[in-house]
Amino acid sequence: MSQLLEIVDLHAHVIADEQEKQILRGVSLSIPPGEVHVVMGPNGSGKSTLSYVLAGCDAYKITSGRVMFRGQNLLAMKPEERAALGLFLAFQNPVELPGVNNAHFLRMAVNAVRRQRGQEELDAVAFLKQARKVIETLSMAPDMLKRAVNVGFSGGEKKRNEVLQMTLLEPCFAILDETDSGLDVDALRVVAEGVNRLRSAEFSALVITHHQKLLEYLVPDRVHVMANGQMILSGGIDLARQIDQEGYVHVMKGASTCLK
Amino acid sequence: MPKVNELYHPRSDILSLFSHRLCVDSSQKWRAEAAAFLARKGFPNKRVEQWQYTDLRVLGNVPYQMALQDNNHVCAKKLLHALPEWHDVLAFLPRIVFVNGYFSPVLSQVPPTLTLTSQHFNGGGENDFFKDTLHIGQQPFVALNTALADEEILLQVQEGVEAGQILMVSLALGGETPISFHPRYTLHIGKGACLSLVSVNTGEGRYCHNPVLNIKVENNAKLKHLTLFQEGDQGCVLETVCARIAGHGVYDSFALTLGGRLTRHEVYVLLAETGGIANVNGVQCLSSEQIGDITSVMVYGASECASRQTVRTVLSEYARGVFQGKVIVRRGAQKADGYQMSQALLLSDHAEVNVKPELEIYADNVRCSHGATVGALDEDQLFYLRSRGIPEDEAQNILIEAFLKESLSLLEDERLRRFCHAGLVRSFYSQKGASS
Ligand SMILES: Nc1ncnc2c1ncn2[C@@H]1O[C@H](COP(=O)(O)OP(=O)(O)OP(=O)(O)O)[C@@H](O)[C@H]1O
Ligand SMILES: [Mg+2]
Repeated sequence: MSQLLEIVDLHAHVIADEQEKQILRGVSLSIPPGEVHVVMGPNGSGKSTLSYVLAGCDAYKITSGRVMFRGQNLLAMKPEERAALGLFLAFQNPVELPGVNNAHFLRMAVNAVRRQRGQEELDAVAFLKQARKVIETLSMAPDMLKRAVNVGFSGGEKKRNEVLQMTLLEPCFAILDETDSGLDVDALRVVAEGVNRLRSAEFSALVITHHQKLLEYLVPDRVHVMANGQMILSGGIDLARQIDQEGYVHVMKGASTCLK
Repeated sequence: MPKVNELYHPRSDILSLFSHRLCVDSSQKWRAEAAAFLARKGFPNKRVEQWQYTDLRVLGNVPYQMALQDNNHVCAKKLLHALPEWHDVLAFLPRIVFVNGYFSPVLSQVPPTLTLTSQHFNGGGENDFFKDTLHIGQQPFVALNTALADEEILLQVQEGVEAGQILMVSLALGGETPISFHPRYTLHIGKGACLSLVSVNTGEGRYCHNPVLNIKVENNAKLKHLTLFQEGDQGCVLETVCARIAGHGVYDSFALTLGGRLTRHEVYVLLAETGGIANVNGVQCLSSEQIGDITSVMVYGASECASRQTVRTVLSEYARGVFQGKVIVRRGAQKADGYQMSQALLLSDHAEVNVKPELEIYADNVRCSHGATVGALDEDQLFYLRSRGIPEDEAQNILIEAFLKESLSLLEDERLRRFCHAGLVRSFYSQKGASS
């Protein structure tokens, strides 16, 4: 098993206004263990949809293709089983959960995952100790734990809360869907460091971003460009620089001539 | 339009459950009048607007017997102590206890801040503050109460007195034979006085509890009123509250309905003078075939008054929830600030919620808003939780509990909020346990 994640010719649609709307039109992508890959692409190209589908959101219907994760058929698993197996999605727009205490939520999540992984559950004290430590490294205000999940959090605070969850859940594969968007420079560094700290031979990431800046902190192994529901181009970090300077239209024009 | 007499059940139907007791001593004019009113009109069926969602046929078909004064306190005590969180929160409050509608001195500890008088009901008279203005007397269950009330309880907090928290418990001891009782209460909060009243209604066996509560909140006085309905499986309660709020007075009420065959909490508020505030909030958490109905009518009779009517409902199995909220702003009641919100969570395809907001506005400088949401659990929230490894059923419970918890956020008092929360969670999980 050389790949951690292997996506082959994945097609998915959503039903909107009683019509099938095709979003993923044959996505193929492989990520080996220990690598950080970046996906860029114009708005609406299907990046978030891909991450939702990988995390198990059943609003999207998969019509063909397959996804293997750690040698298992990912698409047959429930979202909670995927999480237990080590997949984590940092949402582009994390939902608010009014009335759900953040600390309580985090502990439920950590223990649910630990239970499924056959690890011992953490008691409240042990959990809080660990959570406080991570919160400090992420320069989050300690009262974030006492508040309702994401309710009234600023954009940046929501993103940090995603990174907090990622760190506590100890995934082997994280998808970060524009976790850098709307962050100030300091926060950006904090998020990048959060990912870098997890980097190891056992950890891979799929980083969706529009910005070159993050990639300076988070030197990726590969960069892919998604357009119209497909991966149309792959390359090294230079590709990201080129997109940053020339824009998608230009780069994609080149790609389509290459593909021919 | 159906003809008027078609709107009511034939006299032989619901009315017959009580009519054997309506043969009245004509020296008591008010009883005779109320009985004649009922005989003429019967009880409303579902074609009467205010009753379109609540079918009175759940009252059954066996005539209700007169509830007797209970002299053996064993059952009553048992019921009291079976209340959730009784020992933590309620046991330490001064309390007034009623068993089958009769005041029980033995079980009560009337605090010195409250004056309690009980007397034979004499028709209400000046205690029924706005029988005429709002035609409360024409409400069928007020008429029934007027015809059958035995005791009338007068509760008074004197001018300027801070009466603190007082518990008012109403216990119903029904049996195989259904009983009914129709107590009449008058609550008077004197100028600048304040009281936090916690009403708890519970019972066992078959019964129909039909109280009428007249409330008068004087200038700058404040009444906080939490009512818990935790009726037995075969218990029905049809309660009518009429409150008159004087200048800058506050009536802040919250009803929590947990179970009972039928619970109708009907509240009429008259904001009679400038600057009054009234809230009729509530939560209903029901399962099996339970019916919960919160119907409130808020009448703005003066300027610069404000009100809130917010109700949250959680229904599983075949339960039905009703929220009817009406705001009437009379001419001249400028700067009225009315807010209504209904949020319902349906946990089964068979559960049903009916929401009816109504605004009647005759003043021009008014702010009134209302909104309603009905739905199952939010799919995005569920997915978020599950994507963190939390199994589906656990994720559902987290969201339901959060909805319930949020619904209590309007209760300022931390202890009361905890008490209600415990009751809600317990009721929810016992329902769930019973159904699975
Ligand atoms: N639930 C849905 N219902 C209808 N259309 C949807 C739904 N989800 C996604 N789409 C559509 O699918 C397309 C891809 O959306 P997606 O969010 O995956 O894009 P994206 O690449 O993440 O864009 P961005 O860079 O703006 O985040 C868009 O046109 C979007 O409107
Ligand atoms: Mg996106």
